[in-house]
Amino acid sequence: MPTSEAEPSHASGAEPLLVVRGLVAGYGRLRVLNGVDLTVGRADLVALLGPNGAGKSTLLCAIAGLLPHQGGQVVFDGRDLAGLNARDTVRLGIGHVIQDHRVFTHLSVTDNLLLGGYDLPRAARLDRVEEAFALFPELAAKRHEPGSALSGGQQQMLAVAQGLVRQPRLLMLDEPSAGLSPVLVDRVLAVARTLRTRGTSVLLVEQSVQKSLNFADRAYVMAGGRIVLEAATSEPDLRRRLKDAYFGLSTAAA
Amino acid sequence: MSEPVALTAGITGTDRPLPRGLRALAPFAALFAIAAVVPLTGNAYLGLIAGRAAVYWVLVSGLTLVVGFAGQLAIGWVALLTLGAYVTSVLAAGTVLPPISPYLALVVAGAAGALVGVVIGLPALRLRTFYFAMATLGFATILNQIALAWQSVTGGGVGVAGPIFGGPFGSTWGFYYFCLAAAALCTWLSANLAASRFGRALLALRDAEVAAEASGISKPLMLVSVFLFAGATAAISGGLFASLQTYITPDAFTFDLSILFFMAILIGGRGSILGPLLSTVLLTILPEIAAPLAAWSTFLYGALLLAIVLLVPGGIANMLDFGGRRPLETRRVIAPAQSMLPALFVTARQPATLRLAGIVQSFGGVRAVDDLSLTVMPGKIHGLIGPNGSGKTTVLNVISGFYPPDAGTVRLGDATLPSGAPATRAGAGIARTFQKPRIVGDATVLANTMVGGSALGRASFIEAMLNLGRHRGDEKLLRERAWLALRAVGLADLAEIRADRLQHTELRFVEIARALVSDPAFLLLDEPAAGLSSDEIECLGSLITAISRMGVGVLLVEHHVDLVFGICERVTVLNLGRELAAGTPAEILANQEVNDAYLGS
Repeated sequence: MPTSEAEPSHASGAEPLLVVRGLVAGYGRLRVLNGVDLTVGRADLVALLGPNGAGKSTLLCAIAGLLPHQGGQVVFDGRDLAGLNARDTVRLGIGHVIQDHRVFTHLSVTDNLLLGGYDLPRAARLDRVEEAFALFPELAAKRHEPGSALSGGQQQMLAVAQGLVRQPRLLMLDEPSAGLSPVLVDRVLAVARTLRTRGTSVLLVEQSVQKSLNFADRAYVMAGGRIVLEAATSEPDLRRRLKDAYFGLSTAAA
Repeated sequence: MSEPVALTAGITGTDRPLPRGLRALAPFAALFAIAAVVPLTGNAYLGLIAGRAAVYWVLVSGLTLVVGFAGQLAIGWVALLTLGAYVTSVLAAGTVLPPISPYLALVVAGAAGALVGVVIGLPALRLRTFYFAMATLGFATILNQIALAWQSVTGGGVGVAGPIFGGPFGSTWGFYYFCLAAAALCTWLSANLAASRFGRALLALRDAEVAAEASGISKPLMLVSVFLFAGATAAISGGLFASLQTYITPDAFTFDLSILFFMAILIGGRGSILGPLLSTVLLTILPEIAAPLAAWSTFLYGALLLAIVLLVPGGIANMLDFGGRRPLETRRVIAPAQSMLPALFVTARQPATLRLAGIVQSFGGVRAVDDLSLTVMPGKIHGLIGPNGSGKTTVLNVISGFYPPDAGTVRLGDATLPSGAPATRAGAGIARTFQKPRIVGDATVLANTMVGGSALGRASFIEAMLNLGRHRGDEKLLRERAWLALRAVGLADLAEIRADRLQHTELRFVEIARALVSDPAFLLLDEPAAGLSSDEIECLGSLITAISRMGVGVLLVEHHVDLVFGICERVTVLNLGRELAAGTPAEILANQEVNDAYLGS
């Protein structure tokens, strides 16, 4: 495991970065998560798979403090996140790139990125923005243009880049590839993989099973608001187990 | 549709619920029945309050279509109340012309209100949100000042006596029933419009303007129609108001009154008739309840308002929407039924091609599309791929008329399609979907789907308002086609659910259903597979193929190359707005440049 490359400050023992235990959450009376158990280690790359409607995005929102927890526990770096809102979780080092490219269309590309690291010292913030531009030259070419001048795919690129600027300790990416060209999907995932050298863990929600498995160390499969499978992506019979898990779902749903 | 029925049974506790139409009617009937027995109490004070509520509602019934449905912040609508009050009073009193019957004066006021309503409303075509709100406020101030300054006609600050309606409505209670009848009539007209394709068109313009235009809805026409209606009801309300007050001065038409009308709609709920009706009654009664507290009444009124807004955040209509809240199956599977497709494609057409020739489209100094030519054949699927920002969506926007290109033509068969006229495309047989689903969140999936058939409707605004036969025929046709389209894409189970409760992937299929309702000859799809799982993409692929077999030419913008190369007959690759390559999927896959610029590993 490449955990040895993590920053020393993060390596406060063998304790995992994020532990979710029996998490229950939903919208009003509608329960979406029915007791989710999930762990993300330090400098860990984890993929979260499952059919649409399984609760993957809801889980990310609950971890990020966008949804109240109705039961269970979320512990981040030894700290219980109960009652914390999204602003708190961002301060603790949780980054969340929301599905369906949300960028500030009236702000310039540069300002969008600067917002990604709004409470960092100014010099650091500018450095990070330049790093993001180096990763996405398409954006650098449009740095002074408003977000609305970008195409749908470029907005998605910007949303991912904004997530990187902060350099969170846990980066949650919700379908970052939606709307991106195949070349760019590969590039975004490659960039996300390199984040672990800085000690960042990534929790990836992605529709393509193949890309997810190539990306991650471990994978969870979610269905009906629960985790139904957890496995290392290196496991030899993983494909068969995944198939079984998905097959079980489709028969249950029919 | 057994589920909503079963749900009602659960709420009312009866085994045999009323038919749908009667159930919707019941709360209105109950409210007007209560209002009708008010005279039996013989309490004149109660009658005055109830009459005032009825008169206010005559105005709000029209304004709710402007504010709640079309989303136009017409905050100064008291202007039309002022106009109607003075026109009716002055004509009936005969200060300028020989006196005429107050009933005739009321009709003239209605006509004048319709015209002025359009004048006040027209800035909405250019001004957005708050700027439009300020423009309507400006009109309200101007009208008030005219009433104050034009002393020879309006009596200036001294005012003028309100009209006295003679005949059977001459007595206090007679006039009360007259107001009540006007309120009932306006409720009927407004509810008819709300439930028609025009009501759905207004909601679509409010929440998904581009999708509305792509469905053939003309924004100027719709807004003019609705401002005519809202202007007329407001002016008639003004005439009744003047009579109810017995004497009017410019002071009677305060900004507070405008705020009351506006709040009645917000508290009642956007996109509803019943909600604003209830809240109009509520807001008329509230100050009276608070009045005994004298000095504290305004404070109490404010506190009550706050309590309502806090307790009923989505408006009264939202609170009453029991069906929209029923729990949904969480493990839902989209199962298209392609056997439904033949029934949807009924227009006999000569096979024509969709041909783009030499299209150039610049934004600022950047050529987003640079001399592009391509032809979409009927019954074939044409793929359009390329790096992000290469101009794919821009091409779709040129075809669907949103951008007038700097050069080049879009031809459908022999006809050149007018550029910059998106509302003409649905009628010409071109339908499309959008990268981000453009949906009216608080309307049902079925209503959203029916929006796609707006161009098929034949009845006029007036026919819809009066619920005449041709309009009912339109509704039946659109409803049937929307059901067929939803079955075809596999979403019939969700037809009566509020669209904002659906998952993102399901909305992509709603967009396809909406496009199918219009019976298109060509279908433009903008990244329909984004966010879909591999199973869903497979479903989508066979659905698109089945649609093309109906003779529909499909232009598919997509990044899932397996899908594109799996179902397309031809593929065009764009890069920096130019054609990088074009050919069969096999030719494209073998092209080294395409591999470098787009496909990668």
